[in-house]
Amino acid sequence: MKMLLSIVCGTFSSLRRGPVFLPVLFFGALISLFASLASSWGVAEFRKILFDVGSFGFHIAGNIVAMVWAAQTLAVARQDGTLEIQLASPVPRPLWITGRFLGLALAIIVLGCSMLAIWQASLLVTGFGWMTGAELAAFTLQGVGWLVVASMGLFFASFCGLVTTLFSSIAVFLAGLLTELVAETILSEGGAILAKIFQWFKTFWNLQHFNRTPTFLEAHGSEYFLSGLAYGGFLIAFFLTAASLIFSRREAVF
Amino acid sequence: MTQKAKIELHDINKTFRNDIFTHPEKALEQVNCSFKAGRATALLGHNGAGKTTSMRLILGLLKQDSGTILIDGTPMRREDRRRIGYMPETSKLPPDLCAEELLRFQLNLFKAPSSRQEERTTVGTTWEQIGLSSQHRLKKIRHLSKGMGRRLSWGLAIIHNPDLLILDEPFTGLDPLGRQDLSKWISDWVTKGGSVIMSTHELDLARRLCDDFVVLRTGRVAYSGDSKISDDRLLSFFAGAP
Repeated sequence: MKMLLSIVCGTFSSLRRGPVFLPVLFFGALISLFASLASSWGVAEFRKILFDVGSFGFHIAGNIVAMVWAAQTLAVARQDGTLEIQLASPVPRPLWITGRFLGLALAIIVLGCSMLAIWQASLLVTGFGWMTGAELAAFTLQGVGWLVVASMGLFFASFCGLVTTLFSSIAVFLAGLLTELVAETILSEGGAILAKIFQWFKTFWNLQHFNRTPTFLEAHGSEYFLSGLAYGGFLIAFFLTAASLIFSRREAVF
Repeated sequence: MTQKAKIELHDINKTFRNDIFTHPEKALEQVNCSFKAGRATALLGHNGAGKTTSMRLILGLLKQDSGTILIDGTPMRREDRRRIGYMPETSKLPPDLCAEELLRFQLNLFKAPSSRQEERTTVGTTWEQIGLSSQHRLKKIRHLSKGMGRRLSWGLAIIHNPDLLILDEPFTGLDPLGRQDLSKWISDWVTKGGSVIMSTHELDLARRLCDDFVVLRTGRVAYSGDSKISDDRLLSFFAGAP
């Protein structure tokens, strides 16, 4: 337990003090501030578009940070040799991967909560009061989506170098955003076998589950929110198990 | 250290495949040698002879294609790594952690101290041994000089009180005082019964500190024996004419 805690703290401290955390917090807060203001005051169509752009930027920023940190935590550290001393320790590799993920998750949660606090403060200052439950739920799901993407990044980093990890993570992340749209398009245009394949793929890998608007969540009730959390948990467990299995069989240094 | 550790390498083969289009490169071929308990052994050889690969295999960072590695007569297990301290050739350390933090982190990876007090004492003792000034304890590693980084690597290798030290070119990047401190520490440590495997290109230093030599030449053991061998004969093993 102490070993795990030590890995979690080491990873979290490294990421929090690293060169990414503060700029992302600053720009993330800026995006959320603009998006919040555009949303709250927006009546005209172009303001709604601004909100959509802002939300999308916020969503993408979180996911990119998750991918970059995942690559930094494992692929970069292994390539530049910083892991050599740690991996020469008796720590089992699955425990090591779990600790790294938890440290990474902690950094992402701290980042997300900081952005959320700034967003909420901007709403209060501009007189729009507290966020609704649905808005909080939407933000929570988005955060879970970031953790899923981080675990996916760790999975790729367990057997790839930095460039391949980043490239694969971005490609699979985009695929996750598109599967739902593609599956729906194919369904509407026919093509039974292809539609079945995409339906199956969508069931397993669909990041739109974590990218829902507060209005959507309100309409679908808490059941949808809870199933989103469970789906996120399943994906994280899947990626971490796969990463642990692969990393245990791989050589620790290139 | 609590007990002496002896390492044996039996029929070790290791090949690297850089990519699928190139032929695999043999790094080690039928390596058989032993590193005696309570003695310092220098692992010598030209660049690319397989010294670092051998050390990484002992540490479990790489996996051999075939052969066995024994510690005190039994196959090396993950748990046995607790008994080994490792100082790699380059001091690549997490740049955003403090020096003291990293020592604590490393200590907890190898053995959980029973209390905060014990943790503090162990870190403090190690800090004194590596001879860094106390003003550097809370500095981020990115702000330490190369030599300080090497001293910190030395601290990471010894903080859990291992039975065996594996040092990969430990004197690289150290200033004269640092070299003196480290060589004195190694001598004292071996006198107390610790085992050392050390790779180096500095023959004078190796003669002064080590009891045994193992010379690798293109992945094979060219010489394994006492360090009192003459310079000419030793160099002939490097060159390839035993």
